[in-house]
Amino acid sequence: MELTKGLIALFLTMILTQNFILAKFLGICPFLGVSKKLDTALGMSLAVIFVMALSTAVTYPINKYILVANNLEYLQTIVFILVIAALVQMVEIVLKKYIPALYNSLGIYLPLITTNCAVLGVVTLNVDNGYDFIHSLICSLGGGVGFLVAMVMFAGVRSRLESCDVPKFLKGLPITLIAASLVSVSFLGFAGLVEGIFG
Amino acid sequence: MAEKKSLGKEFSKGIIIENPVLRLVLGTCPTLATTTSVTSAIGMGISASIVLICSNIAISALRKVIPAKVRIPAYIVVIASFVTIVQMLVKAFVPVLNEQLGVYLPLIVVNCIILGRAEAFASKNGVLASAVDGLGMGIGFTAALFVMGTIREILGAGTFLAGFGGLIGNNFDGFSIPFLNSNPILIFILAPGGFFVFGLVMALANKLAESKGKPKAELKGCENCPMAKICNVRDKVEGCDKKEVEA
Amino acid sequence: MIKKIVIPAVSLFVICLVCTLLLAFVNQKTAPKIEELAIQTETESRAKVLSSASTFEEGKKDGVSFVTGYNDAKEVQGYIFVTTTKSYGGDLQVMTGVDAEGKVTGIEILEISDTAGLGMKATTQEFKDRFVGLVNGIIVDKNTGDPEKNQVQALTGATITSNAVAKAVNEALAGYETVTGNGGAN
Repeated sequence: MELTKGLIALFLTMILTQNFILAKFLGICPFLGVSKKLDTALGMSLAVIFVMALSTAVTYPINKYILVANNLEYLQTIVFILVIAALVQMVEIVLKKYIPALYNSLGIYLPLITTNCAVLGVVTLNVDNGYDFIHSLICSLGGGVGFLVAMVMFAGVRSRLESCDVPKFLKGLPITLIAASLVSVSFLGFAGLVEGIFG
Repeated sequence: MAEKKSLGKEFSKGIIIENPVLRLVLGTCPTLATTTSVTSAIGMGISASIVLICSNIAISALRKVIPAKVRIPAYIVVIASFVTIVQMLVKAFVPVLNEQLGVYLPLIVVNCIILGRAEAFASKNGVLASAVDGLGMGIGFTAALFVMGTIREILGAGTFLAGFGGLIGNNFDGFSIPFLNSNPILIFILAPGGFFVFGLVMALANKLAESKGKPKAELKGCENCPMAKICNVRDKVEGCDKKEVEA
Repeated sequence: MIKKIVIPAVSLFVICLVCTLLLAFVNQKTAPKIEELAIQTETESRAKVLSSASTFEEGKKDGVSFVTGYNDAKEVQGYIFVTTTKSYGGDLQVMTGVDAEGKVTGIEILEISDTAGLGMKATTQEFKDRFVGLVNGIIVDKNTGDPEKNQVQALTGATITSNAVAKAVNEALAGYETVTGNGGAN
């Protein structure tokens, strides 16, 4: 019971107060780059959730039983990024060959994810925080869902922005960033919510 | 790049004309995350610059040995190694910076500027030119972070260079700004302030570019992205011209 | 065939190998220094939270790890506990010094990842000093901090962090009760 409560609290924290994009600034490139249309935003986010969960599941045992067990912690960064890159490649190949429909909707986003700092970020955070396997997994899932929420919300904001009469000097990227700032303000409102419920 | 540019040009282009943050829109994550104070902004700028210069040199020196097929993984390994070295040195000699940058220090690996320069410049140019390119881009990156950090720290905390002594090993604790120090506009060092200040600085940079007759900075998504050649999203994203990428 | 598969694979392997060797070398040079720094920070923090003690000895009782501080005359000056609670940005680790009467002699924040400018203010000496002299059952109050009522004033805009620090200190004081077997100075 205590464990479930902790896991739910962690999951909600990762989505609301520690949102990867809006509070931790991880994965800003795709946030600005592919959030113009709802369907690309959704596709990218789903691919991110999948890769985040998968890389956490794979890197956790590697870290625990190979790196930490042999005092090789200093190889973490290099091993993690290679594992992520290799996983992404493998998933892409498998999807392309066996599930072409899924590949066409999600697979095309995969290569971009290797250099998405949200994925390496979540894996590193899990290690830094000393989470066990189940906590790591929930943390990644929460981070991924938070990514999705921010992307989808922002896609909506941006579609409104298209038809707005923006001052000339703010046109383009500047107004997009200011809109992101306002979305981020709204997420500040969640501060204390999770602690309030589960504290 | 067949034509020989002077080294001076390679150096200066990264600082203003092709500023990685404000003109090429690369490395946005650390730009937003580590500019809550000038000290951490400078720390991040210098750490990333060291990695950039070293990886540019190494990749340029190895450019004829690395097979094209495994180029990206090879670059990633080289960059990750330099990041880890910088991380260990920071932990051993500037522990304060390690605390300030936290997870963003290992995340220099996925800073698009570094992989981007490896792919776009170091893999095609000589060692000296690549080193100079890295230095220029690094200074450009650090300068952009410095500007963001200055605005955010002065408005959001009412201080300037607070804790800077920790970086250089003395007790220098920066300056405090009268009035703002006791009434800081906190939102500027919170997450929304990061996006907001970045938007305004970007608008200013666009304005300056326009007056010089240069185009606005646009997130083309692909043109500067190191993964562009193997990426298929470009068909779906506006402003992402396949030809542009191939060229 | 050989050109297509073997050469790329071998060259990638060689690059990995060289990089790993380089890292191992740098690690060997920096690891002792990093460890030394960690020990130094720990000793400094111990001296800060329990300044009357000069030598320290680690111990464990009923699952509670603690450090006993002695003065030069080998008299027990108090105990030091390290406790961890959840705060806004993740784990918050606090080192608390408790004197022989169960009063807080000082606290140090060992690990914090809260918002700069808000929660991070918990690391200021002014905030840490608000805990000195308090006993178990510390209450966080938004407006006033009356030491008589065992209260601590919360940091402006960072109630969660303040609560987390207070919770950690209370846990340390509970640890003190376990170790000494009495209810403190109530």
